[in-house]
Amino acid sequence: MKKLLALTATLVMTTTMFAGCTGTKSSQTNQETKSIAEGEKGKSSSKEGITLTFGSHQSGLPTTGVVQSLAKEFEAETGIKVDFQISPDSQWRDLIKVKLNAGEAPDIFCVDADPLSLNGRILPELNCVPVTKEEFVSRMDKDVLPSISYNNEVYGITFPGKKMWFYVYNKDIFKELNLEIPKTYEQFKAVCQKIKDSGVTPIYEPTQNGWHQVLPLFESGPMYAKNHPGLYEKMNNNEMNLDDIPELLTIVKQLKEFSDLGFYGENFLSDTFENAKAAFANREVAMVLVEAGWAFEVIAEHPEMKLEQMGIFTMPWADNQMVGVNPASNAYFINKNSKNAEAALEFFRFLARPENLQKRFEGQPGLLELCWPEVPSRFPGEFKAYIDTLEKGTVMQAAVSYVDSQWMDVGKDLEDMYVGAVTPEQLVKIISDRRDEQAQLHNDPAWKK
Amino acid sequence: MNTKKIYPTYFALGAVIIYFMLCFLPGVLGLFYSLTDWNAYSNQMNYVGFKNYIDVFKGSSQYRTFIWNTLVFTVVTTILKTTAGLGMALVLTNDRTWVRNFHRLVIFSPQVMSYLVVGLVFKSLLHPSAGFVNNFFKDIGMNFMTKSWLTDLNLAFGTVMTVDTWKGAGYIMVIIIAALQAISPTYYEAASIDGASYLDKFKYITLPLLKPILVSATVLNVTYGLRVFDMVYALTNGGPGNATGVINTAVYKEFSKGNYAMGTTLSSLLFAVVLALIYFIIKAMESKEVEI
Amino acid sequence: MKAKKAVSKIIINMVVWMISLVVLIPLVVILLNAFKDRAESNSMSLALPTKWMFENFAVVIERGKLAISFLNSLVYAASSATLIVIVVGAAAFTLARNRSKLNNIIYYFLIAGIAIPINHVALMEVMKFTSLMNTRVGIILIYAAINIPLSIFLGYGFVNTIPREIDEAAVIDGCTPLMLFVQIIIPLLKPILSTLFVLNFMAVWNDFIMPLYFLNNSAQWPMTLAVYNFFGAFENSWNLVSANIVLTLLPVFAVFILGQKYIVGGISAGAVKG
Repeated sequence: MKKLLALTATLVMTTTMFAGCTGTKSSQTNQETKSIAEGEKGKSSSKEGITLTFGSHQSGLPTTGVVQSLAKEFEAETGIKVDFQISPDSQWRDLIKVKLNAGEAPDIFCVDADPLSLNGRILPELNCVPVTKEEFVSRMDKDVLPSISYNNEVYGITFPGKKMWFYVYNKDIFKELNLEIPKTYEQFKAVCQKIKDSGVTPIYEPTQNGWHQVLPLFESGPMYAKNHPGLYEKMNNNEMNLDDIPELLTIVKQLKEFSDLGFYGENFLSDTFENAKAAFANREVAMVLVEAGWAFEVIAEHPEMKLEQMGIFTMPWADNQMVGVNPASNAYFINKNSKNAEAALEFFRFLARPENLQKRFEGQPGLLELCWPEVPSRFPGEFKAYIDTLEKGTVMQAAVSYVDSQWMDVGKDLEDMYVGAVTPEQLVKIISDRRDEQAQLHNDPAWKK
Repeated sequence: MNTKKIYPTYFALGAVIIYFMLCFLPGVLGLFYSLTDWNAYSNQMNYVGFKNYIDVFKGSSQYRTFIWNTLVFTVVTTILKTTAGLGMALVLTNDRTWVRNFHRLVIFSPQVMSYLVVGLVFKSLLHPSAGFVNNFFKDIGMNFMTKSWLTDLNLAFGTVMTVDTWKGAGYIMVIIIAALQAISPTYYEAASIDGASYLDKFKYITLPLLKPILVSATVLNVTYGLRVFDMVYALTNGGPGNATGVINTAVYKEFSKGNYAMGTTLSSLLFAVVLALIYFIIKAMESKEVEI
Repeated sequence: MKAKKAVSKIIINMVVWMISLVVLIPLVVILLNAFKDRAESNSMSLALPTKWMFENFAVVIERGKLAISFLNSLVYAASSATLIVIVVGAAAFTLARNRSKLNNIIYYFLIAGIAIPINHVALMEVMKFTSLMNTRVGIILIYAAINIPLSIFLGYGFVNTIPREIDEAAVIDGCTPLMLFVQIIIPLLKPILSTLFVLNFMAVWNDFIMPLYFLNNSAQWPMTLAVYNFFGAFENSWNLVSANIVLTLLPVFAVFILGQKYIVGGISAGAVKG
């Protein structure tokens, strides 16, 4: 024992000073030999031995693992391996920014992309390989292209279809209580009161995730825009701000009223979105604000629920009867500094093949539509018929600057309001001011006037 | 005797080089970002002098809440952990206690759990309707004790501090036990012969001899408390609303907003405060040493 | 008198057991949950599983790629803790013994690190400059670097408790500084060095931020990150998440139990010997 200690100590005394350099070298050679060894395993093609790194946040990849299995097929076909590196959601935006900045980003990376924040998030001109000339670009829905483009170049590939949020409701409960789907705020309130009186929590409103409670404010954007022509443009030109929209304040007040009336249940501040399925399937709650495809996720996890028991209606906050459409979603990009850019492009082409699009679609039951028109959507007839009757418009966060970037902050502000730390009026002021602050940070010319 | 020869300074080189390259250098380089307008949205960085620092002091009242919360957290957890750690250390070195090693292991064990896990587990245990804690109180008929532990404005911060003590007190206990065992039993034997009571022995032998280790424990607790982030982030993420925010959650928020310069400004201020505190505590400790 | 003593004995033991139980409950809940099926695990409680699901662990090990990440964690934690013990032992010894002006400056310079905030962007620049980026050695050195300040602080205080007369006697017997340190001082420092080893081992074992930034290859990722990936995909399967937590905790407990003798028992021995 003593000898060993003496030996290590002597070694360290003489070598720590050079640990920095010697250590690196040895590990690099290790890696080299390792990759050579891997390369020698089989030499069916010249691509053999390439490993593409694919960085994403948790919510960037379907939890069913369908992208990973497609990558396995890709490897079987080409010999190119894909190494998935999934980071916690909360870390990802900073992490990818730092890595891009340092030139250390993975070969392919997945980020949330929308037309307004794409440049701020990843500076595509500097960091991404343009794919404008690829054949698959022409097959994507035209509406999503702005989300993955900058200055007339397309940089990414994306799959999920446009997002629309509805209250999914339990038809049995509505039938038993003789309720109709509400079209105005007053009707909504009456419906909730009756459900509450029957002992069921009317609405599942999870605030723990931080983002869900914010939806009513900005998904109602089309209604604001209809009442105030040119609203989005005026907001982007700094001629109007959030506190100039009376309907927004109305909605915030109504949200507060609902929480005071106990329509979200007693403990909604501790609830998480993930538990909504169980609560809904067990008839603990009657309504949840979700994308329509969520109904299928409920069925997948709780087979006793049937599609016929579920219906949808658009959120009637401030008597809204339109539905907001959000074309933005997460998208994959290729790192410009990558040595394997060509292989990464090949992976994109592979994913874009019609049969693989179909596989991906089938591998994600909660998704009702891809942004690839060649794959038919699977909205149930009843849902589709209802959606077709609604007037549509683009949601505010996809068309107005500095809304999406403060989404999580607004979530906290709403929590503050629910516990009584700020009033609805103060809240609207806070989020308007934060918009100005963000604009200044971005050096927005419209705020310089 | 030539101390220089027996204790050659190059013995410190290994630590100095590693620390300088990968901790000090990047840390100090990082501090300079606070003098720029560095943010997530442009590739250029301009020198702006002390503008960011001025903005903090002029800034919103939220910063004041965060500073206040941080101070409360530091003081309360330091006191809780030290007294709990000292109390448990005394009991677990007392030969009237059975299976002492088992208890030591158990009480220390939360220390080995990562904050991530602690956050997940406690959020679930403290859930108002499904959580273990409230169900336990309901089962023993104490319904008035069922609370929204992490979302009630008046309770949340207390809960966070309690959980933090749950996790950290065992560590302090272990350090104190080590120091207690280093006290030579002859002191106590002599005192017993003089007819000293347990309390006397504690007051006149144990406490003075524990002073250095208690000062070390305080340094650990205070520096931890001022820089606390993981525990708050994992349990409440500063919520409900911003009620349990601390300085480092504000730093994190600035970073995620893309306002990197402001984030580094806040953390630089914290750095200065913590550095000054460490310096004073260590100075105080050294003067004590001379006395002994 | 005797009766009074017996009563106080019982009371003390009851109190201790109460405290231990309170500390233990969350851990027991996790342990029990790891053996339940999915539906049962949703309400975390102290109820025993109706059916013991040992296969949870198999699922976790296979789906979570725990084997390789376990080895990575072990390498990072053990190497950086060893490195810290060696460099900190040597530095604390010489700095505490020879309080020259230069050494005092070095000491305070190192201690200042306790307060330094980590800046990932600047650290990445340095890592690239030294070509340590994306290497295992790099991650090990980072962990050593950021944990050196606190370790020096604790080690420095301990060296002061060892009488100088020992060194003087050794030098008179003809010891060189290196022999003195290795043969005489290290054995005396064993308690604090093992404490530092265990504490640093646990700190590194539980961290997940550093590999996120500085390792670009998931084959090099440690267990904490594997666990994180797991949470994402199985956020509703509390039984699997619990099984995962149990597996992550086991090695750390093992290290603590092995090192415990030194942490809480050894320091006194060292002091008495001195």
